[in-house]
Amino acid sequence: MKFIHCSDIHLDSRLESNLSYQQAQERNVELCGTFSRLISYAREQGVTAVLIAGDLFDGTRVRSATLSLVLDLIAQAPEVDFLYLRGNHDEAGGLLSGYVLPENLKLFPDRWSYHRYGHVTVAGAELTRENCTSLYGTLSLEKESINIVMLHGQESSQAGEELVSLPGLKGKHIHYLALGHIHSYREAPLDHSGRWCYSGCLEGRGFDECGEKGFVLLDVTEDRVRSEFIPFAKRTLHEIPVDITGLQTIGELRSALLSASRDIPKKDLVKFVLQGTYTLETQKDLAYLSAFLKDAFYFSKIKDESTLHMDKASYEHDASLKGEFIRKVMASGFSQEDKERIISAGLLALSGEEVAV
Amino acid sequence: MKLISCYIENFGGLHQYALTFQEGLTVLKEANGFGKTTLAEFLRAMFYGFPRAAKKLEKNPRKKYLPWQGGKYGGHLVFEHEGRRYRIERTFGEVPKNDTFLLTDAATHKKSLDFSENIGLELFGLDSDSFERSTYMPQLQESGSLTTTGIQAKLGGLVEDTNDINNYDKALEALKKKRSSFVPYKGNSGSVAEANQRISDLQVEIETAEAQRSLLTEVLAQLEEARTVLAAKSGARDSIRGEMTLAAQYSAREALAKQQTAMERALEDCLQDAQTLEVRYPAGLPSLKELENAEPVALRLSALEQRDLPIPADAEQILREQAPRFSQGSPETAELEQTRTRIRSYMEMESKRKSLIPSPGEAEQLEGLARFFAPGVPEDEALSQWAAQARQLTALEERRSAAAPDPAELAKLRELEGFFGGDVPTEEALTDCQQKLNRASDVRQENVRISAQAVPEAPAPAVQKKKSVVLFALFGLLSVLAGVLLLAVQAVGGGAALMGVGVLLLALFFLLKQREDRQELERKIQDSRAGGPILSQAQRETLLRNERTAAVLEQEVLSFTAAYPCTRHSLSDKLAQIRGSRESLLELRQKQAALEVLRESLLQELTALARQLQGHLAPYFGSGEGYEENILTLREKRAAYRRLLESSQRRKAETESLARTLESLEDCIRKFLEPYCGLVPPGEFDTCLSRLERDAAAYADAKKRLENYRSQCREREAEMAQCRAALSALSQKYTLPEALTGWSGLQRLREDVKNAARLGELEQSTRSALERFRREHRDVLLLPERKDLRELEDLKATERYLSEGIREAEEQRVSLEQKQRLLLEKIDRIPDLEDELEQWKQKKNADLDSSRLLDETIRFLGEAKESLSDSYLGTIQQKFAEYMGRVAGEDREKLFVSSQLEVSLERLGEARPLACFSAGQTDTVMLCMRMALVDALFREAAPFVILDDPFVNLDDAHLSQALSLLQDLSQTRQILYLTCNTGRTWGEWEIEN
Repeated sequence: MKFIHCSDIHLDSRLESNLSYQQAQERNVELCGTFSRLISYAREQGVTAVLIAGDLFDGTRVRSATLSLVLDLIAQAPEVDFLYLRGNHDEAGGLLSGYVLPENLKLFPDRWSYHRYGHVTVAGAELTRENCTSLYGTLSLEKESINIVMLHGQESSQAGEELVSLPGLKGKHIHYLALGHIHSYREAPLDHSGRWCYSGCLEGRGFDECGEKGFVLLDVTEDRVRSEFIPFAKRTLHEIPVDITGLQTIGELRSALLSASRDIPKKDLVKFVLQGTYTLETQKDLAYLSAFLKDAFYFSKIKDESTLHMDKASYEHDASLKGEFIRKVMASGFSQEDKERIISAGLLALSGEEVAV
Repeated sequence: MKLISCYIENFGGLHQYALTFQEGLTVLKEANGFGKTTLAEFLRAMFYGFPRAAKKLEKNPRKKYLPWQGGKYGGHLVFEHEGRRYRIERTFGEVPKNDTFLLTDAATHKKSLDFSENIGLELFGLDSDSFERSTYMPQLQESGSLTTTGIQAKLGGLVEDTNDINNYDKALEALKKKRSSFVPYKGNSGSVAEANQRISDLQVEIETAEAQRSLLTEVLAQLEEARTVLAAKSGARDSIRGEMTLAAQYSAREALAKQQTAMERALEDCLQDAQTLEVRYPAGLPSLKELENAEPVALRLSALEQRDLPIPADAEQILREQAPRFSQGSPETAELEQTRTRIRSYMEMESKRKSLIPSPGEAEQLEGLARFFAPGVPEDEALSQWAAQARQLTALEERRSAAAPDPAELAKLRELEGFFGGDVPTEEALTDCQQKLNRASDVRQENVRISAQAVPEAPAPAVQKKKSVVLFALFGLLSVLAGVLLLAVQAVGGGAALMGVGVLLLALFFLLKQREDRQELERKIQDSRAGGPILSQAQRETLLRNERTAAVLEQEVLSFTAAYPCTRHSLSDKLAQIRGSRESLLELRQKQAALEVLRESLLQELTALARQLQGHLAPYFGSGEGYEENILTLREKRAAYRRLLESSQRRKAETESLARTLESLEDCIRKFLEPYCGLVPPGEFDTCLSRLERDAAAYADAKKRLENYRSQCREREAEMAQCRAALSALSQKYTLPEALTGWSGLQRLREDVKNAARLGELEQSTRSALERFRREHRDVLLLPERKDLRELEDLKATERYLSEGIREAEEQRVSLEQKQRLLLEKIDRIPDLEDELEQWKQKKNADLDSSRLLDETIRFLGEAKESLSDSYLGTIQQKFAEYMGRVAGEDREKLFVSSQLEVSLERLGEARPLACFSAGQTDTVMLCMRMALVDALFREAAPFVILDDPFVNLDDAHLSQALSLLQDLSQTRQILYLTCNTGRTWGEWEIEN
C-alpha cells in the first residue's frame, strides 16, 4: 500500500524572490501544476491516500479560482483519498466554506480523527491553542496496526500551539510521523519503532527555499513503512556565493558569475551573492551584470554582500577633493554599506559618470 | 630636503645618466626628446616607487618607462634631509614583487632604517599623485592673458585632482539631479511621490476589496438560507410527487389488470393452436433439417415434371427424306476425302492440259518464223563467217574515214597557196637572198670595226645607255638563274615567270645592242663627215663604199620579198618567213597526196566485201545494207524459231500423257458418285461431291440427335421415380395426412412445422412476458383497495405551486451565487494588490534611502571642498602675497587673493583682475602661486620643484623678468629648471651657478 506525504504547498502564496508580477503569476500557476502532477503521479502509482500535512494554501490570499481548481483535481481522482490537515497558514474553516467538498477529501478536526486502510491507520489532528497540550494524551493507536500520524508544527521537545512535542508522541505505536511546517526534507527516528519526517515544500518559492523539493512516498508493507524522498519541483532555486575579491573588470566579474553557475539548468532560479572585497577601481556594475544574466536563467538576481576595500593610505594623504571627500565619509558614523554607497555615488559624480546609488 | 645627485641606470629612454643637483637652481638644457619628463618621473619613482598597475599605458608608468635598451631598470638618488645624506637605490621588475629598495646612509654606506619603502610619503606627507601634481610644473600651453578663473582652476588642479575640482559643480549638479529624480527639491514629482501616489491608490483598492469580505459573508449566509429554503420546498414537492405517483399507480392498476388478462388470453390461443397441430400430426412433425433435405428432392421432381423435352422433328424429316438415298449406308468420310482428292487432281490435270495448248500469238509467231526461214536456217558457222566479214567491212570504212584530210591542214594549205599565189620560190633563190643579206651585214660590221679604230670621246649618255643595256643582260641572266632555281625547288609558277622575264630581258638586250651598234656607226660616220680628227680619208671612203654595197644588197633582197605578203619587218625575218612558209606548203602538199592513195585502196576492198555479204543476206533481208544488224537479227530470229519449235513438240507429248491420266481418274470418280448422285458430268464433280458431303453429314447428325432425345427421355423417367420414392418415404415415416407428391405439399408441411415452432416460441415468450409483467407490477397489482387519497388534479395543483416556489428560490440562489462570484473576483485581486503595494513600498523605501544617501553625498562633497580650501588656500594666499612682494615688488596692500584664488592687483587706485595684465605678469603670478602651493602642501619637508620649460610663451623682456624671479626663488628652494632653448636660460650665469 502506498501513501504520499506532502506539505507546505502554499498555493497562491506571495513569492519572495523579487519575481516580476508576470513571473510571480506564472510561478503560482506552476505551483498548482506541480500539485496536479502529484495527483497524476499518485494515480499512476496506485497510491491509496495523499497526506497533506498542512499549509496547502497560503492564508487568505487564496483565489477562488485556485480553490475551485484544487477541489476539481481532487474530485477527478476519486480512487485516491486526500487527507488534509490544515496548517497555520491555512485559513481555518472559512476558506472552504461555500464549496461542496469532494467525497475523497477528508479534513481533520481539532481532535484525533482516524482513517483506516486495511491494516493501516492514519490519524491526524489540527493543533490549536486549546488542544496543543492535551492532544498527545488522547491519541489511541492499536499496536497491531501500521500507524501514521499527521501533525503540523515545529518539532520540539515541548508542546505548544505551533510546536509538535516529540516526547509526547513516543511509545504511541507510531510508525511514521508525517509532519508539515518546515520547508525542507528532514527525517529522524521518533522512538524504537517509528520515525518523524518533514516532506518539505513541493516547489521552492523564495531563495530561503533553495535545493531539491518534493514529497515522500511511503510504501507500507505488513509490518513496516518504507519512505523515499521524491524530488518533484519543476524549478529549483539556487543561492550561489561568488567571491569577487581581486576582480577588476566587468568582464572578470561576468566570467566569475558564469563559472559559478555553469552547472545550473537554465530553467532554474538563481541568486548570486557577491562576497569578498572590491576596490574603487572595480567595475562592479550590477545593472549590467543583471542585464547580462537576464536570459541565462528563468530568474536571477544579484545580492551584493561584498565590501569596499579601501587602503587607508590610498586616501589619507591624497591632497585632493576626492581624498578629502573619502576621508570625511570614512570618518563618519554611517554603516559600512552606507559609506560605500556614498563614496561610490560621489566618485561617479566627480568622474562625470551617471550617478547610481 | 635637497637633492644631491642622481644616477639613472636605465629608465625609459635614459641610460647611464648622471646628474648633480645645484644648491638652488639647477638648469638642465637639453634638446627635445631628451627625456625631461622621464627624469621627473624617475625622481618621483625613487621616492614613491611605482603605483599599482593600470590597464592603460599612460597610467601604467612601470610599463611606460621600461628601458628602451633593456638592462637593469632603475637607478639611485642621493639627497640630504635634516643634515644627513641618504642614498635611495631602487630597481624595478615587471611586477611589484620583483622591485628592490635600499636606503643607505650616504656617508657610511650602511643601510638606513630612518625611512621605509614609503619614503616619499614619510618625507613629504603627501601621496605620490599629490607630489607629482604639486612639484612638477609642466609647460604652459596657453598664450596671451589668462583669466582669473583659469588661474584658479589651474592652481586648484595643482592642489586637487583636476577632474574632481573641475567637475565639482557638474558632480553636484548630477547628484542633485539624481536626488531630484527621487525627491525633488521643489514640486511633487519624483519617484517617491509617484510611489506614494500608487501606494495610496493601492491601499484604497485593497480597502475596497477587503470591504467586500463582509458583503461576501452576508451573501454566503443568504445563500445558505436560500439553499435551505430550496431544500425544504424541494422536499415538500417530492412528497406531493410521491402522492401523485401513488394516485397514478391506483389508476394504472386497472389498466394493468386488463393488460394481464389480454396476455393470458393470448397464451391460451397459442396453446390451442398447438394442440390442433398435434392432432393433425399424431406421429409428430418432421424436423426442419429433414425438410431441408427433402426440399431439393421435391424441387428436382417439380423441375423434371415441368421439363418438356423437345422432339427433333427436323431430324426425323431428314432421316425420312435421305433414307432411300443412303439405304445402303452413307458414304464414309475417308471415301469422301479420297474422292475429293481425286476430283482435285482431275481438275488440276485438266487445267494443266488446257495450259499446254499454245496461245494464238505463239502459233502466229512460229508460223511467221517458219516463213522467214523458208530459204533455210543458216548454221552457226555461216553466221560467224558473215559476222566477221561485216566487222571487217566496218573496220575498212573506219580506216577510210580516218584517212580523210585534216580540215585545219587543208585550210593551212589553202592559206599557203594564197601566200605564194602560185609562185613558190625555189630553194636557190632563197639561199641567194640570204647570202646577200649576210654580205651586207659583213660590210656593215667592217664599217663598225673601222669606226672603232678611232678614239672616240665617249659620250656620257652612250655609256649610260650601254650600262643600262648591260643591266638588261645582267637582270635577264639573274632572272633566268632564279627561275631555274625555283623550278628546281618545285616552284613551277614562279620559276616559269622568272624565266620568261629573263628571256624577255635577254632578247631586249640583244635588240638594243644591235641598235646601239648601228647608231654608233652612224654617229662615227657623221663624225667623220663632220671632219672629226679620228678617221682617215681611206677609212671614210671604205666606210661609204661598204655602206652603198650593203644598201644595194639589201635592196635586191627587198625586191625579192616584196612579192610575198610578209608580216615581218626586217629583211632577214621576211626571208625567214618566206622560207618557213615554203617548207610548210611543200610538206602539206606531200601529205595530201599520200592520203589520197590510201583512200582509193581501201575503197576497193570495201566494195568486194559488201558484194559478198549482200549475197548471203539477200534471201532473208533483200538488198538492204546494215550487214551487222541483219546478221544479229538473223541470229535472234533463228534462236526464237528454234525455241518455239522445241516448245511445241514438248507440249504435244505432255498433252497426250495427261489425257490418259484424266480418263482413268474420271472413271474412279464416276464409280463413287453415281450410286448417290446418278450420272454426273465431269464439270460438276466437285459440286456434286460437296452436296453429297453435306447431305451425308446432315443425315448422320439427325440420326445422332434422335438417339439423344430418346436417351434423355429414359433418364428423366428414372429420376422422377427416384424422387417420388424419397418423398413417399417421408410421408410414410410421419403418417402424413396427405402423401407428399411434390414441392407444394412439402411447402404446406413446412408451414405447419414453422407454425409449430412459432407457437412454441410464442407460448414461451407470452408466458415469460406474463410472468415479467406480474413481477414488475406486483406492487401495483397487489395494491390493496384504494384508500382515501386526494384527487390527482389537486395534487398536481399543489405540485405546480411548490415548483413555482422552488423556481423562485432557485433564481434567488443563482443570483446570490452570481453576487458571490463577483465579490470573489474582487477579493481575489487582494493578493495581487498586496504584492504590488509591497513592491511599491519597497521601491519607495529604497528611493528614500537613495535620496538620503545622495543628500549625504552632496553634504560630504561640500564639506570636503570647504575643508580643502581651509587646509591649503589660507597658506597659499599668504605665501603667494609674500612671494609676489619679494620677487615682483608688489605691495602687499595692493595684492588681493580671494578664497577662490581670484588674484587682483591694484592699479591707479582700483583692484584689477589678473586678466587685465600681460602674459609676463601672469607667468610671474603663476610661478609665485606654484611656490606658495608647495609651501602650503609640503609642511614637513619642502621638496624640490621641477619646472619643465614653463616660459615658452614669454617675450625677451618677460622672460628676463621670469628668470630673474626664478633666480630669486631658488635662494630658498631647490629648483630643477628644464629647457630646450638657450634663449630661455641665463647664459654665463648658468655656468657660474
